[in-house]
Amino acid sequence: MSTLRLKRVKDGALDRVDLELGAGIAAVLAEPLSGGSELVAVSAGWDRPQRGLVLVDGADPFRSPDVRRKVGSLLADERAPMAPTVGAAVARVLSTRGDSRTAEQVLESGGLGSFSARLPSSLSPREARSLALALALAHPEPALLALHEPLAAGLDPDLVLRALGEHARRGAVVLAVTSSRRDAELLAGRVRVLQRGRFIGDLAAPGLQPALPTVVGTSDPRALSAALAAEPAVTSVVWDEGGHAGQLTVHGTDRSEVSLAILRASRSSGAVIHSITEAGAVARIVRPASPEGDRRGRVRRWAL
Amino acid sequence: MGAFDGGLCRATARLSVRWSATAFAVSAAFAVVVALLERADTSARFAADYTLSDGVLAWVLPLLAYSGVGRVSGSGRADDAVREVARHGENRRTAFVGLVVATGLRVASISALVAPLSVVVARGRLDLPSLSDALTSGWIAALGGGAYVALFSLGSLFGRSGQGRAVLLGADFMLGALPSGIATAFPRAHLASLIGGPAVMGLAGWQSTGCLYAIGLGCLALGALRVSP
Repeated sequence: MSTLRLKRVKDGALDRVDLELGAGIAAVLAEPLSGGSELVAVSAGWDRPQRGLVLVDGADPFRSPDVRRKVGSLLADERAPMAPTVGAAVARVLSTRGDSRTAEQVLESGGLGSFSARLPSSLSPREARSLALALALAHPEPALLALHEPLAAGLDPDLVLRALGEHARRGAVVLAVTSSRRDAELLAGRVRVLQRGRFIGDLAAPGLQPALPTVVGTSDPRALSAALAAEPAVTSVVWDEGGHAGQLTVHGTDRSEVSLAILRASRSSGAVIHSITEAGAVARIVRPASPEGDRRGRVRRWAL
Repeated sequence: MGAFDGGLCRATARLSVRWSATAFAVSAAFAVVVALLERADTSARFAADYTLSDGVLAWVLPLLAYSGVGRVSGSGRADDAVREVARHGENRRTAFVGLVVATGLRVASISALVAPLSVVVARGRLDLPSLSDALTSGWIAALGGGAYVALFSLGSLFGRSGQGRAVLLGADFMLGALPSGIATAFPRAHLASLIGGPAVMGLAGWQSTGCLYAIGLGCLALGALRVSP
């Protein structure tokens, strides 16, 4: 039975996190930029934490090649491996792990048989994530699987859940971080909530809901924030008058509900919205500001 | 493929043929311009010496090595460059050594081509003495290039983004030219001595050669010790 222990770990957004896990699946619900990707990276030995201690079966994975050999990981930002072909990259990993299977067998088991002869540089970011997850799941005897958004990595979710369950039954610690409440509940019965770098409790705890920030660019932040305050889906609105005067950071329990609330508030307050950005995602303009700021067209164009 | 090979491959991939060709072209162009200017200003023999001492060894080598290490490190820390190799259980320390060796060989090869080229251009002819000088300058430049790569690789293990290599570049420029004992810690002083410049602390040529080897191997060893396995 393996163990994962984090003691007062600080790294990026992670803020003095303590965590102790035994064999089984541990789901962590983490909003973007709240430390979920750092949690996976330090647990897998990819990053050394700025402070604190990470131990897998009593040893630091960053400092111990033997421990890293027993870890499978899916990082938030996966890149194509460096090798002549994907098959060669997989073969290298298998050789390091002492796994006698062929690259083709492993790729086939994840439904990625067509990747074998491809150039790693031809993999899209999503395909690179699929490959990393397939490699993690194919580990013959992992002590730890540290995975970021495992059900959104392009592999069949049923296959992923089955494989994770099998590894957990055989004594591995499975740490799965996700920003999707649905995925978290599919992964494990108990879901820990990581918010702003700290574990704040379990999802099932009464009254505890994760807040998911959405950044809104608007012509009238005062009027919009006043209207949002009346929306039940919105738990808090932050208006930084000094930094980004036209920006509100809106927290809520469910991103879709928050988006609808923003639209309703925009309609009722008359505030023109320039952009809506999910914190942690690549910024994208939902609707460019128009000089006229036509109020009638605004909501119709956003019809959901 | 082991950790050492992983580091080698990583460096080879980053220092692509395109990067190497560009680095050679820029270095050679600079060296040729310096050689032509020196030739117009002084006799053929001294022109070659000045081109080497004031152009190739003083500027091209450190900047070429600095650029190569920066390229391989992805403008970050050198140990971060081998994270992917170490991810599944390879030894990060061994991978780092492979990375530095490959970078050193690539920079040394380019240096070993640029230095003789500058000598031949400065001399303005290709005869036996020129060829002998060209060969001598070639191995000195190759050794210097390797030593610089090891020095900057060690530097790139300090600071969140490997800023230590910039500190060592500055230190080499400033302290390496001083007529004092501290200069012995930097390749600049020994390279100048090997092509006929003032001896560092009275060291003979073979001793300066030994110092360059010591700087290269010492920095590589210190760097490997600093990297977590």
